Amino acid sequence: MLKIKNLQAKIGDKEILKGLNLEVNPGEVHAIMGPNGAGKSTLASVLSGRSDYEVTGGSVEFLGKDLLELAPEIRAREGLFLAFQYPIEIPGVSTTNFMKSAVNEVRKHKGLDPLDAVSFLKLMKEKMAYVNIEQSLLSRSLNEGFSGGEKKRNEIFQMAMLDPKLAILDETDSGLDIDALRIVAGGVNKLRSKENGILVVTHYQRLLDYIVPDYVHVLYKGRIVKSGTKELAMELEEKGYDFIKTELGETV
Amino acid sequence: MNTLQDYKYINFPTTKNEEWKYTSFKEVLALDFNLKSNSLLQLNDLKLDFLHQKNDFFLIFINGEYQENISTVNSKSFTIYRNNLEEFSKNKHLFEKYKTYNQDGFLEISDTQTSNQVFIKIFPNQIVENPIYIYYFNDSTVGNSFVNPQISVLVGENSEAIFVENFSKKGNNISFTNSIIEFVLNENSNINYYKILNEGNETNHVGTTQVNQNGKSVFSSTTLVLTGNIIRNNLNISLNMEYCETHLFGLSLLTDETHVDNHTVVDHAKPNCESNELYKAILDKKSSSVFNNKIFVRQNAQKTNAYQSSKNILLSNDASANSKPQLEIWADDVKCSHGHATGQLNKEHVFYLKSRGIGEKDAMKMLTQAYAQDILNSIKIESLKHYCENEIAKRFLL
Repeated sequence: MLKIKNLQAKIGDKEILKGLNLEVNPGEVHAIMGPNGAGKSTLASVLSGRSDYEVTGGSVEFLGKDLLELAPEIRAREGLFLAFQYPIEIPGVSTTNFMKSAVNEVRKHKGLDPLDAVSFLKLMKEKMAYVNIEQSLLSRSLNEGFSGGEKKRNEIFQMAMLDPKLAILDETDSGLDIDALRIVAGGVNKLRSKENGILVVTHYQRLLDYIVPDYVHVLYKGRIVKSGTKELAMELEEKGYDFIKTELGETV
Repeated sequence: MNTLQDYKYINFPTTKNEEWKYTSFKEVLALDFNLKSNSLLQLNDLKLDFLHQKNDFFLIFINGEYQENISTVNSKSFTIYRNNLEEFSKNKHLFEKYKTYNQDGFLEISDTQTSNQVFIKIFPNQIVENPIYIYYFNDSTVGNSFVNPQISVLVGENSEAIFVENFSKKGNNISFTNSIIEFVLNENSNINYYKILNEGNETNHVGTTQVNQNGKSVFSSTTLVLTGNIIRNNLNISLNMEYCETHLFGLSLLTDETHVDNHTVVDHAKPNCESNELYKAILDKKSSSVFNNKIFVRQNAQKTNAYQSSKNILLSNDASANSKPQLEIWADDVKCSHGHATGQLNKEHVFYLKSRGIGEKDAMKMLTQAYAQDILNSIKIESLKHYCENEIAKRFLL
């Protein structure tokens, strides 16, 4: 469903992605790991359509379409979802309030009628249970005064509501204690299916104990330099990223 | 019929005047205007502009003249005196001493049109049960129309009332409304005051609201500007006795070439009073805004709390906002603050909503509404608040 070929991107004058290749098929969970500055968050940003980044080469195909040609909101309606590393606060806009528009935009895109208030509420109740989130939290200004765990649960709640084909989780484990991590990962696992792909971007292996990937890739200096299965993540955890550098013949 | 040209001796303020630096009516006032144009408007022609609910009171002014026959004001709590000079002159001294803040050509021309004066007396110990709406219609059907409605409101002690001023234009020629409303709040009284300007882009407006507060009175105001050509709102508050409170809110949602100048003066003359000001503007296309706020804290006005803040969001490169805070403080035991900020809609906020499938326009609409919401929340009449929310929502459907 996602085919990334030789992707190159920069921010300002700084080249960050330098020819990245990756293919995700329905039902697969891929983990992208790598040291700080490798380009992990850039990859997530470029895929979701953040305008700070300039794509200078390569292609991304999503469900047969040229993803890079689509506006961020169209990508979302086509079934791409980004769980933000740092979910922002928006004063005066509640999750309930914008999710209703979001869900109905996605439905409209699929040629479905908008949900009425009752059906929407029913859907909300069902998905709230996935991540154990309170209605009162969703009626407040987005993320204002939320704890780190609440913010990330809110992201996964939104993912559940929008039911994406491909979810990108950008450092979803950052800032979470172990209990929050379990709840968030539990929510993600409920959304795993044969039809959906998930791309987990993470620095640490610990999230992968809960969201077990089918494939693990190491991103380093803007390229995927090593791919394997979940054992690769264990090896990274054990040996640190330096072992990748050694393998690549760099002096540590 | 008199025309504005008959009053050529009157000098209207120009941009050379510091208080009018950013706002010029020069071109508009070079045109000729009828004063008190004839109008054939009937009640039925006006109803589309009504905002009030059943049982609310409403006063109708057409071209500056109070229309007693089509107004609905039967109440035991207040009485309206029209051209009743005897009753007015008995109370005139209460208002007179306050006409000092903006002594300029607009006040001068108004003083030549005194036959229009209306005096509203709210008796002591009354809670006026429904809001009092004041509709001003400027009918320019027969030619350019310059009108000068004037209202004086005396609020008895321990009384409460809500006023809504709404301005509308009829006819296709150019309109200019130069309105004055003045309040005297006696001890312990409470007034909520709303001013709505949404009469289309061919209208010019200078409105002065003079408020004189006696002990323990509370005045709250919300000024909402949605459309117009050139608009100047003077809001002058005089806190004459101890323990007064005043809350001033303003929201300008502007587009095209609308220019709005909100000038406020809060004069803390006595100790232990509090004033609070928050004005926001959202500016699109070539619109512009001015927020000029002056706070005086007189020498014996100790324990004054005075806060002012203005925030502007520019949605286009051609829009502009000017904020000018002025504090003159002679007392030493006071708390005063001011803050002014101008920026754009937060790009991260827009991107977040887009990443959820919400289109750019809808995202901007949501964020703008959120931005305006704390001002709209100051509107305590639910139906009026909904009207304002809808007007804002409509902006983004174009």
